Amino acid sequence: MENERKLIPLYLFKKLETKLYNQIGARILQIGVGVVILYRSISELPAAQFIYGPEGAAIGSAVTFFGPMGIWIDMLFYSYLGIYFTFFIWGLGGVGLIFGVYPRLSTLLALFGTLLLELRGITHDGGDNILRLMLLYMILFHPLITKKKHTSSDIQPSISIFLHNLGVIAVYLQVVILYFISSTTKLHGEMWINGTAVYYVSQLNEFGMPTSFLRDLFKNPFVTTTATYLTVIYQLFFPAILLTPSKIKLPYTLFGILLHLNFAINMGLVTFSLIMISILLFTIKDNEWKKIAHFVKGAVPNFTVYYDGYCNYCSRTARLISFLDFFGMFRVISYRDDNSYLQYGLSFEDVDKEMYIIKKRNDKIKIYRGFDSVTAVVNNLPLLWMLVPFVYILRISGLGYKLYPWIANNRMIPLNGQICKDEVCSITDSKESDSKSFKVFTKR
Amino acid sequence: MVDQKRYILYSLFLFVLFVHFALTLLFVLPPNPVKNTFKLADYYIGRFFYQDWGLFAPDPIDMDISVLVKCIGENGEETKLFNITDNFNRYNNRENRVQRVAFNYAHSYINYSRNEFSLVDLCIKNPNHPICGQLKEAERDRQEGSKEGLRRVARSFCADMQHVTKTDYTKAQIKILLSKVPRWSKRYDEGPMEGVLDIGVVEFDKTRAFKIWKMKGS
Repeated sequence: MENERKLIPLYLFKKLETKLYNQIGARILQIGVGVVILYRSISELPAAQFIYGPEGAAIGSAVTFFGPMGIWIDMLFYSYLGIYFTFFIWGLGGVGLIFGVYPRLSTLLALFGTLLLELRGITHDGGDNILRLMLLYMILFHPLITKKKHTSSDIQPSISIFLHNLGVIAVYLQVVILYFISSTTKLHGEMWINGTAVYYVSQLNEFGMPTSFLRDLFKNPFVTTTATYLTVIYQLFFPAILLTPSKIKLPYTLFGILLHLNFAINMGLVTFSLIMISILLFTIKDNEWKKIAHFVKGAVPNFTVYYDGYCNYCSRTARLISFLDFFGMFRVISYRDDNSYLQYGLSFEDVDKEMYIIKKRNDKIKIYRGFDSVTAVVNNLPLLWMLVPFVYILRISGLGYKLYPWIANNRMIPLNGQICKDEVCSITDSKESDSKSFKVFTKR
Repeated sequence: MVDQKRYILYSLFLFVLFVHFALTLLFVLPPNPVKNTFKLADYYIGRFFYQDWGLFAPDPIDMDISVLVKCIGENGEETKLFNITDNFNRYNNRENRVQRVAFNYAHSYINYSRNEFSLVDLCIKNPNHPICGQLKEAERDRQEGSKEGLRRVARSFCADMQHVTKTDYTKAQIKILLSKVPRWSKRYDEGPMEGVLDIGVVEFDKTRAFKIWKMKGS
């Protein structure tokens, strides 16, 4: 290894053929590109005959790219069926990229559709340009990046891994060229230099701000000049920022994402912004994603719900919480099976009396009980947010605190404490190994 | 031996990557002595990996472009002049690709392409320079191409109109409306400055109605 380190090319080759770089970023780029293609193929399909069809407005030809062979490819656009076929192939590629199905084949299909439509039509913009180039480099991405879990034994030094990393380098180089050229070209423009460029764009119907309030806002010198210079500075320093530590790079990337979100919402450059955001997310390395995940895990609280596993509707409520918990913030535990509540200073009598929720964020712990635990569930499950006003009224009126103990004290549990299903509880005699079912309930 | 062969292959891949991006950079850079003498970048990148990263540079667009169309029938029946880039097509959304078709043809009709742009300064300074002939030719080709595109858009629009009025339209008058954003110093005092460019009357064969535009009664 030491000798190899001395021979830099060999060391580099070894590294590039053994480790898959930017796996998460590459997968995000695949999904982002797939979403853009799917969005375009669906939104353009109803007008496809007008935009690309033989009797429509298109005059472009594949000959400019493919030479004489392009005449044959153009034939796809001379029939209605051919256009729908192209859109189908294109959309299929997009779907394949989103779900990671045959990623290289999907990339090829997506590239084929993107290229043909760009050659034929006139509606393309910078976003379509970068989309096509990204697809080209994405062909090199390793199919393993679409697998959720793979062990290090799945990754053996190979040409395939080397090519993946070559694709990763290509994406980096392309985005560096994009920002470098875009920013230095702006430095030749009088409006970018004198700080008024954003004012002119903001007042247009085509790319301008959607409301008169926002248009007027950009007549303010401070707003316009700040926005103009920030755009140029962001682009100009982007290539250098890629080499900086995460503490600088990640906030910078976040700024870039917000900037492009603004382009999407206020300027209507939806597909351009989506693809640029995907590329920005691509530039975040795998170890940086781990840091982000760690940070988010610390910032987002997690909840442990202690419920009565013997009580039917308590179990149903627990299942409902798990079902509605898209972000995996809640862990529901029956205190009948698990006494981990003891570590929080709670006794069996406490958790048996009412529902307890332990909220953990970083090292801070907060305990909710009774009706407050209901409030915590409603407040932290987005799908239940519509109930927030109702719960709030119950809380400030004090009704919730009266109602909850009544419900808790009147919950039905089977006498012998067996697991119940559909209000039927089975009692199993382990000695005789036959089971009988009874409707045996009592109020707690 | 196996390693050696693999490493030769890797070296080759890296070399291809290096050449590709060297040519890419050369292609997207402004005119310079290397670019002017070394035309491979124009051929290789321009044809197969075309890219343009101006993105609202050197100066952003400062005028709105609209396409106006008046359909004319065989017997001289005329519609009024419609702004077909206005928001009355069926597929109107914030990123409106349908609207972009007419807009981009009109944009291409009135604006220099990036390749022409680099020659404009030279021809202003020295109108007799041999390259100025090429510039005029490129300008004419671009405008003819854009006019053909606009003719096709007008044809589709008039077919939609015909679907409603039941009148045969065989010609259309096309105009481009330019609405310039007031200068920064006049932003509170003036409204947009408007100008109309008459592209002329174009003839067309019949086409089917795509029902792109929402016409009264359609």
